[in-house]
Amino acid sequence: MRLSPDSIVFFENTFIPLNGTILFTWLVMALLTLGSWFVTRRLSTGPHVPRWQNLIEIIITLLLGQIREVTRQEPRPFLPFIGTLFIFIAVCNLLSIIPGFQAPTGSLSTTAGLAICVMVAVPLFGIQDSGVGAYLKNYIKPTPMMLPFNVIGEISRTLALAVRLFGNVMSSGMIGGILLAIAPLIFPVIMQMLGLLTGIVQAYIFAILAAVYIAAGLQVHEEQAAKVEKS
Amino acid sequence: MLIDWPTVIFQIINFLILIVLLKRFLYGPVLKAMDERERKVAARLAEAAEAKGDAARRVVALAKEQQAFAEAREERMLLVSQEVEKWKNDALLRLQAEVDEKREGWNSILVAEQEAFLQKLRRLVSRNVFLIAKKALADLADDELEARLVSTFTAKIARQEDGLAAALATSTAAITCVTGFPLAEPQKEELAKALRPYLRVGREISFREENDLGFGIRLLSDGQKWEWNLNRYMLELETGIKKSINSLSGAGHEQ
Repeated sequence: MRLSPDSIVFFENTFIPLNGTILFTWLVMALLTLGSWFVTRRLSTGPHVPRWQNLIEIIITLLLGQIREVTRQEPRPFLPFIGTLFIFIAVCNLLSIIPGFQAPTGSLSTTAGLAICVMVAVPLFGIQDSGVGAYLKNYIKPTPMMLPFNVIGEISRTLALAVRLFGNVMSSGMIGGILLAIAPLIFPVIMQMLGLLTGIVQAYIFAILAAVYIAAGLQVHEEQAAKVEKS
Repeated sequence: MLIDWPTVIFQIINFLILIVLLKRFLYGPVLKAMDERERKVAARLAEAAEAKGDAARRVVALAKEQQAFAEAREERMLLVSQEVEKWKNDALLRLQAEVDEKREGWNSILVAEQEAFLQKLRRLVSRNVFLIAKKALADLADDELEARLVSTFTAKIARQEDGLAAALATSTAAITCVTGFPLAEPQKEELAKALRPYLRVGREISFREENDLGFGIRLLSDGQKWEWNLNRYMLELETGIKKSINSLSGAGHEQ
């Protein structure tokens, strides 16, 4: 039994691997890009909105509302990053229902890459928002002694992000496979349905946690602004 | 090893590319369309608010126009009522004038009829008086009444009353004797005999009959007239009767 689509290797040399994870990721990317292009090629700005555009607008409005609630700031600058995280993970998890499709999120390499992206994005958004010095001071709060713990916290939450998503998706697929061997009639279908729900929940959790981490970096700026206003 | 680091790097790159692609093909156009729709909705809401404001202003203007119209109508009604009152008064005055005129006409007709009636009554009374007097005279004397009149007239001539003799003496023209009844030859001779002493030599006496004269004799000569006529008494009788009738009708009106 394969634990990860990384083990499906189509082509490999020293630097460029072409395994199942990358291939299915490209597939999902192509699907999302073409779907986006198809939906947005004829956008309506009037009172009559096409069905697919309406669905997309609902999803984007929902994402904007969630990001606004978490960050307490204007959500549009964070939409491409957090929204893409949610959509990519959700589509990967949903497509796992298709026989033969291996969800890229079931690979620890993919989840680790996404977690690294979040780990890099948090300081980038924080620095963009409040500057390098103000952001870095956040690591020595409340005392400089907390610096190692803060750094360890950054690394550990990144690791937790990666492992949580990988574990959930991988276990979902693995439970399905085991049930298929034990009770092949009804239970695999129930578990697959549960897997779809789990996949959406995991995508939501990953995106929301990324938003929370980014918002935590932005709080420095908010506190400074509050101090400036008080003074 | 579950983590394949080259795959991790590829996945990071893939994810970054996906961000760019979705930003280009999904978020940008959809957010733009949403903003455009929101702008349109805001514009339409602003237009609606403006239209509402216009409607409110229009309502106020219409209310003012209506009030002005009502005031104008009141003024117009007042003017019309005044004109109607004036026309009514004028019409009443015209009607009063027409009634007065008609009453005046009726009064004139009434007076004329009264006059005609009096005339008729006078004639009737004089005729009756004449007939009564004639009958009385006929009963009192044996001669006819005309003969009595001629005798009386000749007696008056003989008495030279009223300056008749002086008038006849100065007259240079012929004498015409006019009577209201036919004279018999003896009566003509009696008259000629009575007048001859006052005539100059060569003057003739002519006789003529006029029914309008009534019961009387008239002498005409040289533009002068001498007459005795029962009508004089009739006129006095008429005057008396008329006064009596007027006094009676006046008393009737007063009642």
